[in-house]
Amino acid sequence: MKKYILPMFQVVTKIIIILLSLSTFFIQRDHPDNTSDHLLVKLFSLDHFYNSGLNLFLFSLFILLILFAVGSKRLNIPIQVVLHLVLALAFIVIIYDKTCNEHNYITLCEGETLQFSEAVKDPKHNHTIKLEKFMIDYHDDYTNMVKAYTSQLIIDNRDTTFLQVNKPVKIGHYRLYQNAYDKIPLYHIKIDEAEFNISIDDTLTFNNNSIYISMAENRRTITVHFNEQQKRISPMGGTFTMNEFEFDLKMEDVVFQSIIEVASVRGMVLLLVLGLAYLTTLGIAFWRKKP
Amino acid sequence: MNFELYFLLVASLLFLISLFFSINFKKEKIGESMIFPAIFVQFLLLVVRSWSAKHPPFTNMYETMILLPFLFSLRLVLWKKQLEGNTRFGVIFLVLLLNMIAILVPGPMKEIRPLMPALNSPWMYIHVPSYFVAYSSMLMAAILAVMTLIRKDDLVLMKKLDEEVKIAFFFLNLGMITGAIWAYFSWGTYWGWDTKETWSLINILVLSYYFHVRKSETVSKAAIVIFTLLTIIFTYVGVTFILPGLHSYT
Repeated sequence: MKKYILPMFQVVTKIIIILLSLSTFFIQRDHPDNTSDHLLVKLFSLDHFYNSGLNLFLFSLFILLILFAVGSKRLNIPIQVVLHLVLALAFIVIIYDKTCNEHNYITLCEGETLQFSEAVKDPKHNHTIKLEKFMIDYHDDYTNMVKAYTSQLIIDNRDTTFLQVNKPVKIGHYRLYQNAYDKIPLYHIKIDEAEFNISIDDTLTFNNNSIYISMAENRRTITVHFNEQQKRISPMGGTFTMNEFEFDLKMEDVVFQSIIEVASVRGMVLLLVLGLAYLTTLGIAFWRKKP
Repeated sequence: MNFELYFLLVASLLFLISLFFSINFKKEKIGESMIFPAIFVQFLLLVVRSWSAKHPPFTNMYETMILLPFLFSLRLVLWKKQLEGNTRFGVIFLVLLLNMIAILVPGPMKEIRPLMPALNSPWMYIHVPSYFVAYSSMLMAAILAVMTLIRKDDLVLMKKLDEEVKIAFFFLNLGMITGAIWAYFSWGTYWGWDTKETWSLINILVLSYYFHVRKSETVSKAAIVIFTLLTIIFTYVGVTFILPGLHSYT
């Protein structure tokens, strides 16, 4: 058995390398619901490889073979034993963590308040988060590119905190990450003589009629949904008739919407320790003074 | 912009003179004397780029294309005694080749762009240089691997190859671990199966083979090193231009 561990390890690693490299060409990151019709892609789940059982199985086998190598005394230098144990442990924590951690996205417009427990579906964290202000800092050169963006958040109506890229904010065992931002147009709508304000994805009711505005993915058009009828117009607005009503729609303002990622990564400290331990043992294994 | 091109041209010219004289063994010393000025001009190029960009020279493809030959050329001075004639020739040739590629890079890629918010992190100062130290070691290892294929029983050469592969493997791992920490602070996850991340893991897995073959299998070891260099070139250039991902700015 002992002599088969290394060849088996090499075979498993080869399969992992081949499938991982192929998966980078077929993976459906932007459209997770899309599946390929290609037989090989289907057979090895290459379009959804990272979440597939095959990936989990291969990495589990990889860990098992490392542990077998250690257990069967295939490795005879103590530092190599430690190195492989640390590596196996790190992979176990990663697999455990990847199956347990949670990721959610929340969006907040300026002035909007959100119930955190509802967003993360965890009643224990009964907090409110308000986006007081969204600030964008630009580079002072010809590019005028964004240098930094900050969400000024008020948690539980008392604590003010600033959320930035690379600077997460902690709430319980959750962390908030500044992911991105969006510009949401606010519209002023006049239907016959009645006037309202409405933003994208909002619904309002007028004389028992429902009005809803959506924006195309390419942002080149907006669609006004009036009961069952739809009218596609420019995002700047326009005048049109639907169900014998005269519509006058104008873009009045643009508000910033902060896109925040909420993550719960439980094993991070342990992984950090294991990562440092791995690098240290790797360094010792490579450059120790041999007797 | 033109200033940078002049520096790059002068450094390349000095390396070319050095390469020319290193072929002619009688005039080797003239070639030697050109190395230090060439590296100095290459260093000045990085200083000028950093000064005009207001950030260190490793935030986009072009900047790393001028950083890599500099890091690689440092071996000609720091590891001077360990580099014999043919290896030395190989290093100068590769530095020159990398400089030529940097000169021929299309203009828009050379433009200075300010840092995007995600790159504004102290982890960038460890993560990116780690990879380029590893890449320069892999270039060196590839030269040694080719020489090992020619002189299969040269134990000194094999030892040098071992050392280079160890440096490359250590820094590839350091790059990946610091990248994971940075990703945790930036994206809320230390591993997201991004294409560049996946290919970085592939590089490590392929190179790990090197340590799992017998010491006597010199041909296999050399083949693994050359194959790893190819996967690294794909990670560095191919992934950026062919595959989509979060590391599209690199």
